[in-house]
Amino acid sequence: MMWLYLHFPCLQLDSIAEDAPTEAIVIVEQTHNTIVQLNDKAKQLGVRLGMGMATAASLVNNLQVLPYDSELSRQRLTKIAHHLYIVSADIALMDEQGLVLRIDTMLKLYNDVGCYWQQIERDLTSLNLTVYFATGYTPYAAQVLAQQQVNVISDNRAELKEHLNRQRVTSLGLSEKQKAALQRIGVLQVGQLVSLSLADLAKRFDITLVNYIGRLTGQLVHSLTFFIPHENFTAQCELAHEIDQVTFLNQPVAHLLGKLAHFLITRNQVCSELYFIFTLRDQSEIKLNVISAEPLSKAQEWQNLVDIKLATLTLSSPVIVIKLFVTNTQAAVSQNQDFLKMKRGNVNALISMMIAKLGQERVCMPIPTADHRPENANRLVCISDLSMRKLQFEKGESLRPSILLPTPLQLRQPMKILQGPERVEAGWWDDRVIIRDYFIAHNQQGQCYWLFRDQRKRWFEHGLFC
Amino acid sequence: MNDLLWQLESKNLVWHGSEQQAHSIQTPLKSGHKALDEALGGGFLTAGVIALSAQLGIGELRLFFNLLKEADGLIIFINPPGVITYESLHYEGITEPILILQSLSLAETLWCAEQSLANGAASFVFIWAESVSIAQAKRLQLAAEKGQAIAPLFIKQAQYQFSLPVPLNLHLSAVESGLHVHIKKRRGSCGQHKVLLPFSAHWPELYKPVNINNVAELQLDSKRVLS
Repeated sequence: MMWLYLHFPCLQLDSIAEDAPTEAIVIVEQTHNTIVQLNDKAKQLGVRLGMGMATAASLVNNLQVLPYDSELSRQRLTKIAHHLYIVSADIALMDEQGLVLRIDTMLKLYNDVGCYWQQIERDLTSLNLTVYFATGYTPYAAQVLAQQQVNVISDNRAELKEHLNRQRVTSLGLSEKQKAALQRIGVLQVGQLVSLSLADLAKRFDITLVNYIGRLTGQLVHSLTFFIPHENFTAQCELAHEIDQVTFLNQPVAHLLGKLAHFLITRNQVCSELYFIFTLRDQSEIKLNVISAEPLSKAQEWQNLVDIKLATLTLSSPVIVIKLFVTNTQAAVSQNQDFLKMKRGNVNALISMMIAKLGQERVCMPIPTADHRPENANRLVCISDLSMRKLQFEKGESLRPSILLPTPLQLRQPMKILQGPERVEAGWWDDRVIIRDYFIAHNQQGQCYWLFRDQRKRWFEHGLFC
Repeated sequence: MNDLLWQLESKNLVWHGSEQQAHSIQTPLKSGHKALDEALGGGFLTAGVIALSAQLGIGELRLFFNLLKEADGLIIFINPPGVITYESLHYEGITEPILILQSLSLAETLWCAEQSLANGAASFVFIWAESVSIAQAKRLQLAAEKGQAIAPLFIKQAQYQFSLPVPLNLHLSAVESGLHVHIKKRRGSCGQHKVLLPFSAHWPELYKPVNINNVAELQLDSKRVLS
């Protein structure tokens, strides 16, 4: 078996939006208070890995310090695995900083290790991460070489062994105590260590070391749990700067939508609803969901809708984290359009835009209902199922006003009756019984009203024949 | 020079001869009212804003019902003053899908109107706006031309002292037997026309009184309401 190990030493630093190259940023591991990741600017100013917080702060006056978040690194690693899953089948997460990919099963597809690496490298470049890599005949061997930044891609067993043997035992994934014990007996290089037999090692050292060496040399089986991609899309963007103006949210949101588009397009899927969660500095959250009338996958199409929706947002305090969820995706179905009627725009795109701007409750369509009560017969429904349809009913039988008042108003002016009465008596089956006599009448200005008289002989205006 | 020309063009201040030609080639849409069609030089334009000042409930929508029957594409009502009834459109045989955007602010009304017009999916976009500035009217006109839609724009009478820069400005008023249409301004013609549309022939129920006993009673009632 052959493996490729990818080591990402600055995962958290890389995941911060890359718009602040001028500032020195360090990531600090909180239990030991030491620096575990730092950017180039910090390096130039003399900060080094493993340095204490106090020393670093005394070197750089405007140092930006972020706590190390293992959960974030893990999430990020899973994202990378997602990304690489398209080109390589067996991927396992090793610790918080590395991925191991099984090569030998993929060589039928990629011919040789060089071609395989070319594909992987191309995919990694698009992610814009700091990465060290190495191949090896066991996962641990590849890991040691990658962590030591050997960056070797080869399937030559002797060459790889040579590289490994040259490493110091301190570079192995052992505890400090075990490393010290090895040094005490004069074992300084990996080459010396692997030349010892496992049985001999077992006499002197504990089982964890024996297991490790056995797996490093391939004498013991190393079983890995391979990564299985999620069905749903989630992405998160930690902002380097707090954003307190809605217009500046577009950039990080576009970044997330780009990832979503990649997720959907590689799976030939589309989705019709996005959920955003904006975490604010005061720890409150703003939830935003964006609906589209037709399922979409392209980032630009989503961006248009999200921009409209974002414009309605008001921020009580600055945004620090943006999350994007998509729960329901469906297979993309290509639609055939009439070539000759290309002039007409897209109804669904228009409705999506209106809903994004106004909210679902103000975008309505009339729904035909068989009821004699005018309020019920002319019910409007919010467009939820989003299927615009032609009105498919036979011609109506009675003249009705084109505009109904939202609620009937008591008669306010003298009227001249032209037609009526028309008795409407309905609703005995539910609790909203109406018994009304409707009339068509003109007022003095010639406006044509629809009036009714109720059982108690009170007169109301109910609509207008516009 | 080119720079200047480009700047003027980007502000829509340059008038192209070709545009006018394109307009004249299009066959006008027949409104279904002979007198009006003649006064309009054949009918309504196939795309553009029609500014209307009218009181509510005098037949200002009925003016378009014949056109709506022939419409090909979504009919949108933006910020109507009440609930647009399905039954009335149904009665007239209007079958195109209908979209209603309601309770909007002025800014939202104009935004939605512009987007709906420019999209091209809509054939008719009825807009009720409190007030419209010249620049906003121009924007709507450009959007309507882009999306090839007709946009009847209802504006309050008081605000309507001068005519907006749209192809057609109408003032509607109610008369005994129908609707009086005053064509205040029409692109490509000079002088003002006044047309009387006999709606009583199309909708006798709304214009011809029938003998009813209750009239006296109603007048009595309404007096009480007013006092």
